[in-house]
Amino acid sequence: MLQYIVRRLLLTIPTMLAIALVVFLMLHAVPGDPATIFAGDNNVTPERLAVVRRDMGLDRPIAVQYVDYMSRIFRGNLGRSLYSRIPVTREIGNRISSSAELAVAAFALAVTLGIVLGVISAFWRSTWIDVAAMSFAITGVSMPIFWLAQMLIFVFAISLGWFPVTGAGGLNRLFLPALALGLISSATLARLVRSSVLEVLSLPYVTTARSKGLAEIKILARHVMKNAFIPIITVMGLQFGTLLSGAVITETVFARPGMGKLLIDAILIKDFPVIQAVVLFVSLIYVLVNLLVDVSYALLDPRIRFD
Amino acid sequence: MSRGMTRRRFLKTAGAAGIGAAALTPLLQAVSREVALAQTGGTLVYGMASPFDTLDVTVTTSSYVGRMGLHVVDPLVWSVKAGEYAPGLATSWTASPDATAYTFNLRDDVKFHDGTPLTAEAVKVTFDRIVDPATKAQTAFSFIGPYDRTEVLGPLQVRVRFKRPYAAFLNAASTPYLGIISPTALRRYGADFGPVVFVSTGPFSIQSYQSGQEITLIRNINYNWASRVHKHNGPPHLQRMVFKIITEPSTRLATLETGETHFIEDIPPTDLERLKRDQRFTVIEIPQAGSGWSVMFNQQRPPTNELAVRRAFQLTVDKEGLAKSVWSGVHKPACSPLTPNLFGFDPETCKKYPRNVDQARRVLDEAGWQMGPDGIRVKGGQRLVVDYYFRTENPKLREMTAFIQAQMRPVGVDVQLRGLAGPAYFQAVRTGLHHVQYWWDTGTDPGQMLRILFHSSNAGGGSNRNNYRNAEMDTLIDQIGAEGNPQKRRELLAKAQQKALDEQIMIFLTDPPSLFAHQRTVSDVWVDWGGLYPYFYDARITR
Repeated sequence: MLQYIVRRLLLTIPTMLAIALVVFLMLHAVPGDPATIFAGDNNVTPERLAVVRRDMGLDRPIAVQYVDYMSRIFRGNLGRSLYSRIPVTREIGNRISSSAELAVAAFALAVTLGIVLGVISAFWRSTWIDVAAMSFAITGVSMPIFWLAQMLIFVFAISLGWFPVTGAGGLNRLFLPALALGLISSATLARLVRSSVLEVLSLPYVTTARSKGLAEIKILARHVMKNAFIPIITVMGLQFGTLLSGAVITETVFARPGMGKLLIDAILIKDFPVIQAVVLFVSLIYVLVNLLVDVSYALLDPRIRFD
Repeated sequence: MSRGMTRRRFLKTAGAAGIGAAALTPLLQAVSREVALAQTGGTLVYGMASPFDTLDVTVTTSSYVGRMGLHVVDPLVWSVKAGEYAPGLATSWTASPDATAYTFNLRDDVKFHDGTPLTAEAVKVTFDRIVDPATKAQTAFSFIGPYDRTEVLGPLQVRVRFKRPYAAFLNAASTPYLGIISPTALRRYGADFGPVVFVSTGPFSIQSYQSGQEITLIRNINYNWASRVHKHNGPPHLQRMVFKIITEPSTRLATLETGETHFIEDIPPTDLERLKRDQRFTVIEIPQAGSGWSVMFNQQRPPTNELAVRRAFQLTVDKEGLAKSVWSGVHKPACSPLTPNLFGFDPETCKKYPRNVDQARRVLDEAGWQMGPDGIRVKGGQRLVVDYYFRTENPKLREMTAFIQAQMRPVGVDVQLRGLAGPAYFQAVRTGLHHVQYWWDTGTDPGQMLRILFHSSNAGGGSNRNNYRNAEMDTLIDQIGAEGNPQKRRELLAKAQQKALDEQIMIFLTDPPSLFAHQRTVSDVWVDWGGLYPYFYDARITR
């Protein structure tokens, strides 16, 4: 097992290299020159634009830029934002705790609610409980998050005055954003849990367990959940990555600093160093979460071996 | 909270004093001063609509940084109203008759936040840095105009020289963008000056900055050089100001309603009436100085190179309806490239080419654009299709474009919506792929506005995306830039505005107001006549 983990960690290196290359190439393939965007609607002569371009290092051949970029990554220097000139590591550092906080809170909510709803609706399938739980899930899946977020603000911040509207820092400021984000992912998860549990419930060994006279609750806890969990954990892993880096709308509506907003803002102005660094960082998280997911397979199902 | 902070600062100061008892007397004075200040105090939270690119107002591209920056710098002069100035850092000034040189005498009692004194040398360092390409200054660079050099005439006297006449320099010097920075701090912080720290002379200094989230300013307790424009001298009444970045308009408004912010900018027009009726808030509505929302026609690409096509837009588009539907009646229909509050605005422009859809049809008929079978006009086998480029980040632009598209269709013009995100948009319009694009700008100097829109030096990839090149217009703009005599300047400005309309270089859609709102508990907010900079030096929060 340990050997497997080490091997997987070593594999991370070529994966990250490939990601770095793809990100670099994509950024250069997309139209829009950062110097031009930087100039924006300002009154800039072509000569001055050329100076800016040189200053940003964008006048060099692509290959040279790539080598320079890779060598900087290896030296651990991700550069400074082309626009704010703030070191990229600092930009990420400023936001990572806020993003992690939101992702963990929303994830906890999504997982708890998703699993509970999924299991009870599978267990009492085709009853009013199932209908109610799945109606909730469908509403959640189809509800646009910007609408939900604004409704939460309207109800809990403006009308009731229980929570502040914006910001980071403090549990009271985390509650509404985590609720908005978590409710919506819990809906996706609940539907998956239900179908996964239903599938396992129909397997012969469950019938065997029943015929042995085991109580339903024991069957569910001991036999069904472990097996149903394999696809669920895969999706949970992916969801965590998305919650960490893809909470742009939640971050915007609640005016929270975060990785998602940092990335989108950088893409809109083609801020190469920031985009590259954030994508690399998020990819690393995904790779690590995937590793955790794979390792957890073995823990859940002893038949899965990694050597 | 303000009390706790004062105590903490006191303890910090007291700890330092333990090292040398000799420092006790000034310490006690400082403490009693702090105590006196704490009795005013309070923290004002300002909801900002846009994130910042840098703290350095002399480098930024964002006009929002200027709103924060004005509190941290002092301008050389203050603009009292269009064309009228009062002393700021400069006690007096003279301009050469040809407007190519300005001499300033500086106050002798001004200190930067790092304790170093303001000198003539600092002015030179600041201005030289703005034009240095390595600085990549944007807004300040366009304000400093045809800058040549600064001569240090004495410890507190400077002369700023320009390559050609620049009558608008005092106006430029009244903006925060040409505030004076500390040369000592600039050397000390190097690449971090701007992204991380910023040191100037203003009534507030920067206490902390979290990019994308908030900036906290703390009052400069040594501040004693306020302009007579303001109500008091000495340190500001507010102890702190927090500029909180809340980009989503409805969230920004929500924070005002819950009391999380005291003051917000850029109120959504749809909420204006409701806010005005709400007893808890005060709304500030000031016509914005500059050039309102307008349409630039690319004069180098057919079919918008034809006067008839451009005129058809002017005669067809219902500006009143646009102001009412898209902008909830908060904007006013526009007439000229200049907003009505700018010096030299020509009211005749409002009467020149009033809306007349039948006439629009005649104009196109006469130009040989025949109505085709599908309702789109044709000439020489070419359909009358106009590519309308706009940025998708601002939903209002799509609404305006759809409005214009719907109005042009019955006249036989096919308006194609080309909504793009920033990078692709700028690439397209700077290379001239567009027929039509939007413009909106703020500023208080009319000559500068016309230069941005119409001068040939800004065509071909610059701000003149009309790609309009006309020697006569260039001369007019240069003359306006050099003319010190108000009456003559007004005549030249009228001529240029008339010309812009007669040649239908652009159409001018709506003039927006600047919209701010604050809690009733906040008083004495100063806003410049152009509606661009709310200023909180005199402001108080009553409990």
